[in-house]
Amino acid sequence: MKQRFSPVVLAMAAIAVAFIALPILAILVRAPWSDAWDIVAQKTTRDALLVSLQTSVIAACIASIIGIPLSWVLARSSGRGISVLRTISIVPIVLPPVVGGIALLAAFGRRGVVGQYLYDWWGVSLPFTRTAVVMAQVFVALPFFVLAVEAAFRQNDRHLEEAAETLGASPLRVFLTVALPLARPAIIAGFALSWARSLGEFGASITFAGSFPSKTQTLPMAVYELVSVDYQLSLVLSLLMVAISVAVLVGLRDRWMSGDEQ
Amino acid sequence: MSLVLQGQVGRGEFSREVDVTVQHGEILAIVGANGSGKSTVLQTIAGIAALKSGRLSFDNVVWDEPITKIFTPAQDRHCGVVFQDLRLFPHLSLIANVAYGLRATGLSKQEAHARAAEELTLVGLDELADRKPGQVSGGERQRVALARALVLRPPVLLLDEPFASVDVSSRQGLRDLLPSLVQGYQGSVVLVSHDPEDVQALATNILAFG
Repeated sequence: MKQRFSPVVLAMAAIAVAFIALPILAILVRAPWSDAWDIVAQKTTRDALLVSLQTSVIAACIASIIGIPLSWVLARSSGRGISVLRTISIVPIVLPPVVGGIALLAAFGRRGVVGQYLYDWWGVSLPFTRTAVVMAQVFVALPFFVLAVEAAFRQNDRHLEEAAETLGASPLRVFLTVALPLARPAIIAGFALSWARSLGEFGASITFAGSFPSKTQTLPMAVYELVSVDYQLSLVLSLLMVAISVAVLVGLRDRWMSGDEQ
Repeated sequence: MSLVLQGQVGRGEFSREVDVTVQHGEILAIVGANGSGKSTVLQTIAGIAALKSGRLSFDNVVWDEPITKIFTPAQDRHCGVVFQDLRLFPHLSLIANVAYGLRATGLSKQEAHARAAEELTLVGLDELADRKPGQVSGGERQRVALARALVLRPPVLLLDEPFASVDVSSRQGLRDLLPSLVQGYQGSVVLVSHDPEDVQALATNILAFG
């Protein structure tokens, strides 16, 4: 039978949807469509887009490479230490991004806890470089990857791993040939989520890497700087980011939005 | 002496006393009601469950002895196991399933697949080699599970309700097939079943679990 809802509930649900949909639609309405292409073709825009794409793809790859082993360990261990580890791993989700940026400065800045040695011993200075952009993005995106993939590893059929063990497979082989392929859909989803999160990253990266055009300035930074100078341009850039975000969500639709497991 | 298991098997709350000896070339059938711990015995021998007390040894090599903390991991025991729920790898083709254990021993993909193909031919599935487990019938999956265990020529073969997931019509075919597969096979076989006909057709010895 079809569920019946009270009009009050329906009205409030409608307000909730409108609250999110309206601002996004407003961008579409206000964007100067006729000049859009010229604006996108400008050097500032192209540079920001390039920096954004390059750093976010690298960040998503790094988040995946270090996130997979972490997710596996978290999924297959228990105990108090593991709970603490899990909490630490997902802190950036609830942390204000700008605080993440300050934390990265405190750790890797030229006088930072680790950064001072990097600078004194090897002359390496991370802040305000493109590497810093990537580090900030990995910092905020990694938890999204871990949440998605750890859940998948937990749901994997352990019986299949046992079968692999009886066939003589070492723990590493079991992981690579059974656990990993079975979690592939979640790994793809985790990659896409962490990529989308990296692409939208602003607070941590502007604090740790600064906003230097064609060097560390990403699309969100460009939008922020342009909003008071050239509102039209910032609208077009926002439109571009809406398009990218929607594309990611549509790509994940089957996996994420249907609400059930594969 | 071959396979000797004396002690308490169990998982979680469940446990039971067991005294099992299986000689080379012998096929021991363990029969008994559901929940009497038959499958747990097989899992303990295979190394995916641990003894609670006592000792498990094969050819005088101790595999599991809680009091001395000796425990040989499943991967080093090389038992061939046909699980009740088969546990074929759903993401691998039938031939890759059969080749899995061979690859784990270090054989190249080419060699492993060549030998897996021979084994699939023995169980009559050579033409379905590239299908996935989800694309073949229950009886065919059962044969793949047998081939996957037997291709390694394991010193110990463990069969947990090997015909449970097969419909009656293909059951007889499998029953005829199995003896020919284990013919000349010098290992120790432990078969768990609640079907008297399976036991009659295959076993050389019977152990009843109350």
